Amino acid sequence: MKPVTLSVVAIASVLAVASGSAGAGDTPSQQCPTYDPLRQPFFGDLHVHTNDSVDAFVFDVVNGPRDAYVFARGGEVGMTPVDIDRKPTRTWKLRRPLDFTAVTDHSEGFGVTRVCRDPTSPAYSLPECQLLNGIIPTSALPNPSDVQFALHKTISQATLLLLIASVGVVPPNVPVTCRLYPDQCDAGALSIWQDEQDAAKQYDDPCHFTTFIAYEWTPMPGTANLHRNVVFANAHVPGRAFSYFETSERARSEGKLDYDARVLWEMLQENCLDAGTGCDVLTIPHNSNFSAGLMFPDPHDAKEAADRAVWEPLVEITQHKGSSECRFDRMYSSGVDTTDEQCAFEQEPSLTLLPNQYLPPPPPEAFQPRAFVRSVLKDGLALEQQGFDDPANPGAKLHINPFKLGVIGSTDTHNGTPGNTDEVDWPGHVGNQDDTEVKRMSGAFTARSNPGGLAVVWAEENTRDSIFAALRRRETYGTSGTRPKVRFFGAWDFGDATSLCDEPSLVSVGYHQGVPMGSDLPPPPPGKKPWFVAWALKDEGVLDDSGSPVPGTGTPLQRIQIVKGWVDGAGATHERVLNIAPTRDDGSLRPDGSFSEDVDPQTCRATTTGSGELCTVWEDDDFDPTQPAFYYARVLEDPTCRWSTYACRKLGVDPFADTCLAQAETAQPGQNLDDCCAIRLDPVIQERAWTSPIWYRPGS
Amino acid sequence: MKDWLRSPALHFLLIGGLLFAAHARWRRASGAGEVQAAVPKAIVISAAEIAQLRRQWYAQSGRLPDPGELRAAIDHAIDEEVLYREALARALDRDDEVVRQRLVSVMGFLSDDEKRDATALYRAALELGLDRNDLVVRRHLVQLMRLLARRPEVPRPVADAELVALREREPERWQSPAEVTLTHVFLSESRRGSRVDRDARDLLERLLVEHAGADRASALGDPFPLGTEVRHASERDLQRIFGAGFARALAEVKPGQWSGPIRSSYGRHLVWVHERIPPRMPPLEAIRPQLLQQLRDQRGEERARAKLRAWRAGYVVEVADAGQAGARFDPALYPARVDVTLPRPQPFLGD
Repeated sequence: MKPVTLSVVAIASVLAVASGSAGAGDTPSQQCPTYDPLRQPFFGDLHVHTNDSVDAFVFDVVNGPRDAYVFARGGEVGMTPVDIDRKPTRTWKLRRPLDFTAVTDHSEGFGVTRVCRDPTSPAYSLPECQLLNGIIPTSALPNPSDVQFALHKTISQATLLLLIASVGVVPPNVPVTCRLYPDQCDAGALSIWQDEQDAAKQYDDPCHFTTFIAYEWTPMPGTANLHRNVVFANAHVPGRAFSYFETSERARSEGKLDYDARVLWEMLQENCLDAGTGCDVLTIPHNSNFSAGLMFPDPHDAKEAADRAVWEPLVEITQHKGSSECRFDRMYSSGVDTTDEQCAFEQEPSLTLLPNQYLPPPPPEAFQPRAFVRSVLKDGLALEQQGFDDPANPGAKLHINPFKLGVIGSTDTHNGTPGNTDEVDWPGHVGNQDDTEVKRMSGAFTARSNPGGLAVVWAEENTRDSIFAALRRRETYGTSGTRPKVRFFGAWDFGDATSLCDEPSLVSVGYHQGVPMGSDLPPPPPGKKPWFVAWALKDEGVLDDSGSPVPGTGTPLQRIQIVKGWVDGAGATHERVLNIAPTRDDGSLRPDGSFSEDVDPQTCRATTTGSGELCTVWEDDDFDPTQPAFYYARVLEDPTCRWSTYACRKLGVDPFADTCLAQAETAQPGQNLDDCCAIRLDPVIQERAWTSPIWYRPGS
Repeated sequence: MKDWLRSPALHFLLIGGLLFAAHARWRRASGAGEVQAAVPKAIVISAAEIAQLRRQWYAQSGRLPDPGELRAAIDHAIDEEVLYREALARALDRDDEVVRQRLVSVMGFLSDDEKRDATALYRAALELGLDRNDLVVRRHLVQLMRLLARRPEVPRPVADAELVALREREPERWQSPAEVTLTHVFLSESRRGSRVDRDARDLLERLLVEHAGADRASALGDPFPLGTEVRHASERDLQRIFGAGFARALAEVKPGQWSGPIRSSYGRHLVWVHERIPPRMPPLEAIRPQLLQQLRDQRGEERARAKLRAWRAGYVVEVADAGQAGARFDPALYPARVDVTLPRPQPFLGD
């Protein structure tokens, strides 16, 4: 061939390859008929465990990834308790289907999960597998069914604790099964990962329901939670789900701490972002409340700061194991780096994943501020202001904010039941550990856990590409389980801002004149202060089979707050929380005390009803253009009854009664139900939404 | 040398060897499913067993079974026994890896002698008859027989006509839902309070009189955060945006004119329906795999039921008087749920 022809062929083939692989998603090339350029809210759950997770299948959970997707779409699946044939004796279904979900099973356990569930594997008869399956010889027992059940559960629980301990030590201990049969374990891990991909593919239904292939990376050094969900954008994923065992080995070889997240990012960079297949991925941390502050450490250098900002644009701010926005403890009348009493919402009495089942909880001083997202956001501003040494220019600084975290919620269900967040009849979180009201109320930690939250994105259409793009740009918010719709925009100039809430094209103005949640404000015109508009619609509500509204859904909105965090010239961080809607008649802001926190015990509804819709525009009068800041909106619903109130009433204990403690003694003999009473645990909650922040950065 | 090769004895041995190998292969291929041993044909459900079924039911559901439920539980127990015996008759436990592993591990727990290898343990287990008593083995064999019962004797190819018929039989299952495209004007209950109904009726009159278009109409209403255009929305989409009841009320509305007011969770809406798209049946190719799966499942179920009935007919079943067993069961003595803590020892009733 002549050289000219060769180069033409070369260029053409490069172009062909480039256009083929660039942004290669699974979205159909045409837009969905429901495409909306002004974006719509999609509700999902990005943290779901099925019986592919070791800490689900040992607790009799029967649902696999396919069942989880079926459930998310509104289908019926089985729940524990199971009978002697391991068949579920209950079924459950969502009242309202989800729009998207990701199954995130623990990759560390994939090998053990496959091998110990396969009776033909040589490893199956190893004590570790036998114990995980709770199998004991029955012929030696007089009354097999009851005792077998009981022993089965005790044994499997104990074995699971050993397995969990294996990821709690540094370096982590590979399970005995995998040390003795490494090839079977490895093959098993790869086969489970392939099956997860197949299940996600089977149920992904562009324009109607979106699945994401994902898994959970589960390091827990000394029981401090450093877990992250690894969520892939499309079907092009690495052949292996890199677990803590693999990353810790590599970390040691690089001289890093075993649980350093940078190693996970390196492996994902090599095998996904750089693979040339169109692979894309995010890692989403959760439960910083149990991380002892280790989830968000000071970055070692500018590279780590930049990496973190790119790899982790989101945080799961609420889920079954408590809320991580901030912490206030009414028992001690103080908070961790805050005085905001709303931070008492869904707090657990433990510092790490080691559950504290007996009160009192550790005092606020015992907690690291970086365990809570609001402090992390503030520290991010301070670190950016301080800057990191620029490796290319000695003496110069690079100003990077490593902690620009958008917000989602999720459940962390270990029942394979995504989005099961209704408080009125919550059936439990993990198999036979909490499938009755008594089990759910026994233990201070368990009673203070909750059904979990939801992830909400503003995206044009319900497809992988559109939703993943929304996750990346942080146009997301998290809810504590209900479905309010929340818009939040910031701008230097909205035109006639004060009448913006009467403007039908508010959303269009928001996008064109300002920026949505999760974004940065552009550089300020001189002398201008930022304006923010927050617009929320209550959860639309759902009716039960008899046509009555389901309690806890469709709750009116009580107020919208704005949370501002900033850094002053001396590098100290500050925060302020204001109630920006509804205002008083004269337009001034209402103080906290003017909002009721009571419900009518008969109806579980607020004594003072809020609104179906709230809209407000707020200008930051105290804005200082030299001070970096972030602003996010928090929307509070009217108070309603917590799940524990409904559960306790079923057991014969009324949290609101004067005789509550006496009832708690006698209602279920042998069971301590003191946590049912208001004196121990608040029977009332205010469900809420938190938007991703909007950031301001002083001009360079 | 050559004589030796021509020796009839050698040929005899070779041919015999080939026949033996062929027979062994053929035997293994069709071995599963062939009855090879005789099993007792009398099944007795004793009063003690009925009491046990009652206890299990109570443990799982927290209440005693009614007569219909108890009869169903007894029926299920008989079916299981039939399947178990049919499995034994077919010697399914002899070559089964799961059974072997299970017996080896049980024997390992029970045996004092740590030096015995897997084969010795397996043989010892068989000698003790552990395979006949073990619940796990039993469950596994019953499961194998259920699978066997579902298998077709001769795989029958599936014609397109059958799939189409299946699709037509349950249209709601396969159709994409009906969709609607509309524009709406929102009157907010939060902003207008008790005036909202009156305002809605007044605005509707005005829109009709002015022959107002969509843009003009939106300007007269209140802003709605999810927009005033709704495109290709199914009933579920309408429920998500407006709350329950909206879709049903919308069904009455005729396209091409302002109608309402329709109530939502947030207030009242005047709607202009542009287009209603009826439910569409997807082409056969789009849902072929799902239809095939459903057909196979259905056929498997029918075959399994027929087989079970046929096998059961070969047994003589005797059931004790349920009433007699029930009289001696006192639920107060048994825990309502099986908890993780071991139950206290109970007197054994129900003999």
